Amino acid sequence: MNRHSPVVAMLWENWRLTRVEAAQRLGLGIVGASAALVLSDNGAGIALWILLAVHWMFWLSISKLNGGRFLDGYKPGFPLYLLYTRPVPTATFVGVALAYDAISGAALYVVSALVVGAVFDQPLPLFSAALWIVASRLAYTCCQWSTQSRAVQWTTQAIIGLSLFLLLNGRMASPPLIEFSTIESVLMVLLGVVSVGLAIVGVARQRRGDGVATAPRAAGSTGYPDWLISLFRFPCPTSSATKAQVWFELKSSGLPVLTIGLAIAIVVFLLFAISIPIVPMRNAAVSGVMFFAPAMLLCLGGNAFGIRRRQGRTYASTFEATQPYGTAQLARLKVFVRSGCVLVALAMVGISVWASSSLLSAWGTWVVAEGKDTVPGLLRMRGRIGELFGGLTGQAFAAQISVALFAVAAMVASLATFAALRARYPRRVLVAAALLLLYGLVLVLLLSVGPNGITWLLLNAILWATPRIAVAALVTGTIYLTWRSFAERLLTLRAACGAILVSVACAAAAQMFRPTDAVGMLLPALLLFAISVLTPWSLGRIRHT
Amino acid sequence: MSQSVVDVHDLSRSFGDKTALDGVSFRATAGQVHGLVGSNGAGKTTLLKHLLGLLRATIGSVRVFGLDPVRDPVGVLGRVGYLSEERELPEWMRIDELMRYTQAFHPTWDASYARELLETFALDPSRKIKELSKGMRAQAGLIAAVAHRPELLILDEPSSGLDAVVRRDILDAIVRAVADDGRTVIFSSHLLDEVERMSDHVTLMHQGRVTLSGVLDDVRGAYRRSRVRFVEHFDRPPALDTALVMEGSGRTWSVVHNGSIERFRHSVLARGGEIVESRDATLEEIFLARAGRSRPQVEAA
Repeated sequence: MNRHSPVVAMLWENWRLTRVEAAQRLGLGIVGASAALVLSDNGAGIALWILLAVHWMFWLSISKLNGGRFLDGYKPGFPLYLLYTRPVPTATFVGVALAYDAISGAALYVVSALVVGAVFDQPLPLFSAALWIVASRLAYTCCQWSTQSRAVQWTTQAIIGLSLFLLLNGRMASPPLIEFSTIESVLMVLLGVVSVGLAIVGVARQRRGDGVATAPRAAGSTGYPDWLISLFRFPCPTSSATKAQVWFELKSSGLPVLTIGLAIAIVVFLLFAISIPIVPMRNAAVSGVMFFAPAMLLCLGGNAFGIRRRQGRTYASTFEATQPYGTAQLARLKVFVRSGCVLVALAMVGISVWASSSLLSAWGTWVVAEGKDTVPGLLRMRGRIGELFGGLTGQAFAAQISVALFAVAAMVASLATFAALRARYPRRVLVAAALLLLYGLVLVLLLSVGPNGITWLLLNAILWATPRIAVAALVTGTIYLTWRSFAERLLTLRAACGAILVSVACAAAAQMFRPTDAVGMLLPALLLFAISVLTPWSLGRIRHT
Repeated sequence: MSQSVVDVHDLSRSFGDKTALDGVSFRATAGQVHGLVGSNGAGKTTLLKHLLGLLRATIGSVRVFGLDPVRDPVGVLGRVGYLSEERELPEWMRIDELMRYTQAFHPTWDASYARELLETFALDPSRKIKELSKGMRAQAGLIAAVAHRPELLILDEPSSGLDAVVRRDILDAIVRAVADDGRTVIFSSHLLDEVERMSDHVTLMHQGRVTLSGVLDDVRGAYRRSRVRFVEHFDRPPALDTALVMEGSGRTWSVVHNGSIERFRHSVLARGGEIVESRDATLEEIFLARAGRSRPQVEAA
């Protein structure tokens, strides 16, 4: 293999695409594991889980090879079909991608574990964990790449993923050790080898049959799968631009969000119902409820501006950007439509969870750990929530609804702003994220030293200065953005007054539940106002680059 | 002098260390069909994106209908029709939905004209954009761009993806109809024959600069291609007044030159040669001469 071999070129290509994500994961793993070791008594075990979680998942950024569409309703099967045109055997490009993905992930875990272990004098398992990561990543990729049947993809992945997780969980010992038997190790090696073979065979079949059919589309992804968007057919109103834009937002993302919310609500209820006769399903039902709502909030509330990704490039849609519609109005409309849909979706899930929890009494007993029945605890929690909502006056209930509405709108706006700024200023956002990670690392290291010496003084100084710097940055940033927005005609006096009124009203409504002093009320109001100014400004930055 | 529809003054734009536009000034008035010509990376699309407000003018100024397209997108884009080079349209939409959606933003939408164009292109309104070929996508985008009868039509590489018949018969007719109504068309193209056929004004861009701009006939009239024969044998192109590019070897050379033909003739006579043949230069020859390219590339000494 010389310098010009396709294998070296493809390895270089993979490294080029994933190096930023690799640095992020390395930083995140080390900071997270260090924080766990410093802050928790059972820190070593948590640190190990954090490192495994960070390095278990395949490289998301490798999807840039094909337009960055792993999670955007891509055609199932081998996602990197642009590689079909390369004059190399299927085994080469599949093998290189698989090997790079698995080995680099395991190598990063080993580096993180060595660093954390050396700094905190806490040895963490190396070989066994690396073997598990390699086997997991290979098996996952094989399930996704080797077939175009979604059912087969997700079924095999669920079975193999669950088996590997249970194996890991069962072999985890204290102090953090992972002890696989020889047979288990051999089985994992075999799983990896078989996965590579199956992936190559499956991709070769797709390359022979579907190379042309899966040619990349001309435009970037719109976010939700086409079939989901096509579920709803209603004509676009032509009487006004705003109505047409609302139709566009509802069709392209709003109604798919509602549909997903409804589907999750139904699944949650079914899981609780099935759990009455099938006891092992209860874990899935409860953990599903615990993780679905926050994950759904983040996923469905994201990318309200419809930022597109294509070949690693992120950009706003030229089609939308060239419609004669004001940037500030467009930003507001996008955020409001998406927030409304997310809120309704959340309400559907909430009602489903509430209705499902009434089935808990039919579960009888449910022993999770240490021989304790968990059902009475869950029923008590249900009762407390019922009392909390039942005891609310009409006024308090309305205040709660409005706070929830603005909280969701603020979250949707923040996520949209972040996506726009990341697309417009990728390096600056990367540097800011790296600085935050570094800040976390410094705090963790200072905490690890303990309450003595100059480091403790330094830690106190940082903790004293941080909120003050944050507030000062918020105030100056808001003033600057307000001035820029007025200068760029993104903000009018009327809109600014409206934003201030709404922010203050929302902060005042929040006071009903958690009364604080004037500063405690002013800060959320200021934050909401800052978001309301920053959001249209960020859309303006990406619409007019 | 007629009123400016587009007025670009001393516009510069860089992306990292790459200069895309370097002090570009450009003006278009009502009723003009303006062809932008240039090689890849010359800055044509960057200039058009500035006109639409997709890029903000950091150095220099851009005014469309006297307005800044970044500060007043509604005022500008409401009077502009645009067909992008990438033909980027929402893939989930059907053609009829695209028409209705675009109609909502433009009170001047001419539904019968849109229908007529749909029939001309034989596009099925119930088909989804994602099911369309590149050419059909261009046709749908073109209808959405022209059916509201914009005062300014901006077309970025409009021929890309269109077959020869559509290009020659329909695109030309649309552009001519827009100009005949006293409205303005600005289009970029690699196809110099198309620019010669469709436009009445031409602007030539090279490496981010405007190297030539004016009325097409004037531009063509100002440049000539002459074949000259010398008594003496030249290994390198001889220095001739007003010559831009010379091709050939030995005693016979082909020269693209501008300015006075008499001045050129005197220069040739002074080197002991004569003009064997002379004609107006084609736009392609002018383009290659101004872009500093020819086959083989030989700059006049």
